[in-house]
Amino acid sequence: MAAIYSLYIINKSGGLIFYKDYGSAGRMDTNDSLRLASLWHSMHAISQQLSPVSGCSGIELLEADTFDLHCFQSLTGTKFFVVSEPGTQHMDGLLKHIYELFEGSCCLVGAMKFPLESVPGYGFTRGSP
Amino acid sequence: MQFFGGSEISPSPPLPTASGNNGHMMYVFNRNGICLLYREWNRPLHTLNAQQDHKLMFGLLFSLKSLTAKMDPTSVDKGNLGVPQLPGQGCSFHSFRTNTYKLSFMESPSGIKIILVTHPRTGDLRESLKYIYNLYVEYVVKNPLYTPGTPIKCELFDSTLDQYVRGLG
Repeated sequence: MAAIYSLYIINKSGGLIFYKDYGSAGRMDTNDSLRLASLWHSMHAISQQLSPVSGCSGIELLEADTFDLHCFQSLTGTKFFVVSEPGTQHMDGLLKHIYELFEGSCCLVGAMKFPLESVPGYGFTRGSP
Repeated sequence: MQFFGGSEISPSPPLPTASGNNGHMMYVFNRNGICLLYREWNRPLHTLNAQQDHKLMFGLLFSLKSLTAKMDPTSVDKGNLGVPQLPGQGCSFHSFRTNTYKLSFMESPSGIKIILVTHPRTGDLRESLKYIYNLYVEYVVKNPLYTPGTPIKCELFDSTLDQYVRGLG
């Protein structure tokens, strides 16, 4: 079975709005997860600057020695990324599905269902989407 | 003795595959972040001047390494985020892919970083980077006229490299 280690959702300015761990060794503390999320946001932006051709929209897949990181950015700038075992397939579909769940539970057409979601530093308090 | 694999560099370079001409550019950095070599084959877009571009690239790799070392889900004791890691220490990465390019990365134990930027649909280039590292050892490190830590100016190395990268699938 392909394992997913963790899921992060960050807003368009790099703030972590959702983080869930699905069983990685040595759980990350809250401060570290916030730092990693904003670091990823910056790396994503820098990777666009270094593109040899125009039209780059940032890192989609990072292959590390012990994990893969798949990232999906929505049109509004919210980024979803999962950390999974190396070589895990079909993560694009999973991320799109998570995106749909997120939009469905946190946003209405035209208005936010949950107004405080957009307040900086105010994460989810309503349980998992 | 060579660090990576066999004692000969020539017999069979990996990936003599189809089409070719997929390489965009290549960087070689030493452990101090000095750009020893920059080759460009196909790069229509320049957003920065050369020096800034090299700095940004080195910074990106450095930070991505900190990120992967901290994120590593298989080890318990990972230290703090941003603590400098020796080459080979902590969880590193070997490539990342965007919609427009793929960057493959290799670091030797002495801190030489080789970065190859190619078409996003290129396969695994780890073996190719090792081969390029061996080219570097043969043509640059073993060159008595080369001063370590200075930009590489070696025609033979450049031409061999060009030929090899053009043949990459």
